[in-house]
Amino acid sequence: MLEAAIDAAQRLFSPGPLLVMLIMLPISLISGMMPGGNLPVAVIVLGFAGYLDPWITVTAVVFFLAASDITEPVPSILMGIPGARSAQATILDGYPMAQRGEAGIALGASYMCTLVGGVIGAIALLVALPISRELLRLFGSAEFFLLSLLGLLCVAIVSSGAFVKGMLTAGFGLAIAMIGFSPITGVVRADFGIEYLWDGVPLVPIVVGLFALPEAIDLVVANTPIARERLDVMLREANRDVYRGMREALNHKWLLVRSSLIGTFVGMMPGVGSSGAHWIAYAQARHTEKGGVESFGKGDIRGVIAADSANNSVDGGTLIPTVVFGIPGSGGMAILLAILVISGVQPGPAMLTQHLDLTVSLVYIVALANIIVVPIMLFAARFITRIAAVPPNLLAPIVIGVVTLAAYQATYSIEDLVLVLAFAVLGVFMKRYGWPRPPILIAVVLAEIVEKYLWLSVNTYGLSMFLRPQFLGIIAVMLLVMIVSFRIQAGAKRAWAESSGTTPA
Amino acid sequence: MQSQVNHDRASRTREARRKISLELFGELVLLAVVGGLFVYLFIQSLEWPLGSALMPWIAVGIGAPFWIYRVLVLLVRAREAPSQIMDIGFRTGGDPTGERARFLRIGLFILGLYVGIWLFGFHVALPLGVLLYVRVYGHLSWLASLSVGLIFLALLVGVYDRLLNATWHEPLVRQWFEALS
Repeated sequence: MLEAAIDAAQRLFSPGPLLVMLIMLPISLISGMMPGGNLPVAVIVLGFAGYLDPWITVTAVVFFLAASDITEPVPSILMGIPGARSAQATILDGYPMAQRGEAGIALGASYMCTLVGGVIGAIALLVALPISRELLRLFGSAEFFLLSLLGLLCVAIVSSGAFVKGMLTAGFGLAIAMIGFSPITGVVRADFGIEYLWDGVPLVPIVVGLFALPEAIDLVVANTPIARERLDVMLREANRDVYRGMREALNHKWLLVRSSLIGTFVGMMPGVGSSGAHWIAYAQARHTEKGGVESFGKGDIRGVIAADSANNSVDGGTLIPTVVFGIPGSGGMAILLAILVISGVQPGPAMLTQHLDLTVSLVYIVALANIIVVPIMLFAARFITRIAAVPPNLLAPIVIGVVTLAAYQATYSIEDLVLVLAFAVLGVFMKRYGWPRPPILIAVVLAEIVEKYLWLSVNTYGLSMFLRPQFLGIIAVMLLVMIVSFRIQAGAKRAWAESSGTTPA
Repeated sequence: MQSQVNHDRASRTREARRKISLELFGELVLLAVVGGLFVYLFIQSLEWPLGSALMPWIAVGIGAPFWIYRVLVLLVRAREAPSQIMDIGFRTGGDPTGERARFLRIGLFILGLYVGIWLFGFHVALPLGVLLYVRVYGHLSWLASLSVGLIFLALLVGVYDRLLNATWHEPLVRQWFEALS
C-alpha cells in the first residue's frame, strides 16, 4: 500500500498530470457554476481517452469533476439555483443568508467545509480502500434499496410542519421520474403520446424551470437586489464576512466532521451517494443541532455547513464503487469508468492489486482539487458576493439567458425549452402557494436508483430480504430516525404554538 | 359616519373573500396538476408488466393519500398549523400594483425570449433579448448593453458551437424562407 502511495505521488506530480490540472482548473471553475454544466466537458475528455495515457485522462476528468463540484454552491447560495447533482440542500439556508446580506459568510463557511470535507473524505477513502471490498460485500441490493429510500425519507424530515405537502410533492416527483422508458422492462411509460418524453424528463430543465426562473422572477417582482439587508456592510466588509464564515465553520467542527463522514459513507454506496448524501447530512444536522428544527431553512449557517461538508466528502466515497465494482454512482463516474475501460484498465478487483497506484492517485487528485480550488474560491468570494448587490433588472435577464442555454444542453432539443416553461409555471405556483419544491428534486434524482434496487432485491431475495440482519438493521435505523424526527418536530410545533397563543391542528 | 364604517367593513370583507378565493384557486390548480398525473400514471400502469408498474404504484401510493388529505383540508377549510415548508416564497411588499406589473413584464420577457428562440434561433434571440432588456429596464448604456449581448454571442459561438459542437434547432423563420425559395 505504501509503495503504491509513493508511486502514485511520483506519477501524479510529473509534468503531464500537473499541466492537465492547470488546464482543467479554469474550465472547472466556470462550468461548476452552470446548472448541469459539467458533464459535456467530461464527455469531451472522454474523446481523448483512446489517444492519451490513462494517467492524463483520469487526472483530467477526476480533477475536473471534483473541482467543478466545489464551485456548485455559488449559484445555490447567491441565486437559489440548486446544482443538478450536488449543492441542492445548500439553497435551504444559503439563499436566505444571501437575502439577509450574509452571502460572504455563507460562501466562507461553504468553502471551509468543502476543504475540510474534501480532505476528510479523501483520508477516509484512503483508510477504507483496503477494507472497502469486504465492507461492501456485506450489503446487497436490498440494503442499497433501503439506503436510497433513506434519501427519500429525508423529504419527511426536512419538510417539518409541511409534512403533507412535502410527501405529496415527493410522490409527484416520483411520478414525474416514471415518465419515459422503464429501465426494468423497456416499456415506454406515461409519455402523453409525446416522443420527446420517451427518454424521460431530463433533470436540468426541471431544475431551471422549478428553481432558476421563479427566483429570477422573484428578483424582478421584489425590485431589490438579492441582498435586501445590510447591503452596504456586505460590500464594505466582504473580506471580513468571508473570514467570519470560515471561523463559523471551524466553530462547528463536530458537525463538520460528522457530516463529512456521512458524505463519505453514503458516497460509498453504489448509485446512492452523490445524490442523497447532502440531504441525509442536512436532515441529521437539523435534528441533532440545538434549535435546528426551528432555525434550519431560515438561513442557519449550520445548514450550509452540514450540506456542504457532505457535498464534497462524497466525491471520495463515490470513487470506491466505481473503481472497485465497476458500478458508477453518477454521470461523471460513468465517464470515468468509460475512460478506464477505453484506456485498457479494467475496473474491478484489479484496481486494488494491479492498478493500486492509479486508484490511490484518485484520492490524491480529489484532495488536490480541494486544496487548489478552495483558496482560489475563498479569494474570489469577496468579488462573487457582489452578485448579491447587482440590480435585479441587470441580473435577472443574464441569469435567464445562461440557464436557458444550460437547459437546452439536456437534449439539444427545442422541447427542452417547452419543458422549462411548464416547470417554471409549476415552480411559480408552488413558490406562491407555499408548496416545497426541493422534495420534487430529491424524488426525481433518487427515483431511478430506488426503482433499480427495488426490482433487484425483489428478484434476488423475495420476502427473504426481511430475514437479512443487515436489512433489518437499516430498517431499525430508519424507524429510529423517523420517530426521533417526529418527536422533535412535535415538540417544536407545540413550543411555537404556545408562544404564539394558537393551537396546532 | 356609520355608512362610511359599513362601507369600509364591506370592502375589507370583499378583499378577504377575494384573497381566499385566490388562495383556493392556486391550490386547486396545483392539486389538479398533481392529481391528474397520479390518475394518468395509475390508469396507464394497469397495462404494464409488473417490473414497470411496481414503482409507479409506489409513487402513486405515496402521493395519493396526502393528495386526498390536502383536498379534504381545502374542502372543510380546516385551520392549518403554522408550517415551515423548507422553501422560499415570493418576496412581496406593499406595492401590489407595481409587483403585478413587474411580474407581467418579466413573465412576458421569458415567454418572448423563448418564442424568439423558436422563431429566430438562439444566436439571434438570446443576445438580442438580453441586450434589449438590460438596455430598456436595466438602464445600462448602449455600449454596456451591446457588450452583454456580444458576451452571449461569444458564449454561443465559442463554447457551444466550437467546443461542444452543439446541434441547434432549425429556426422557424429560416424554414419558412427555405420553403418560399
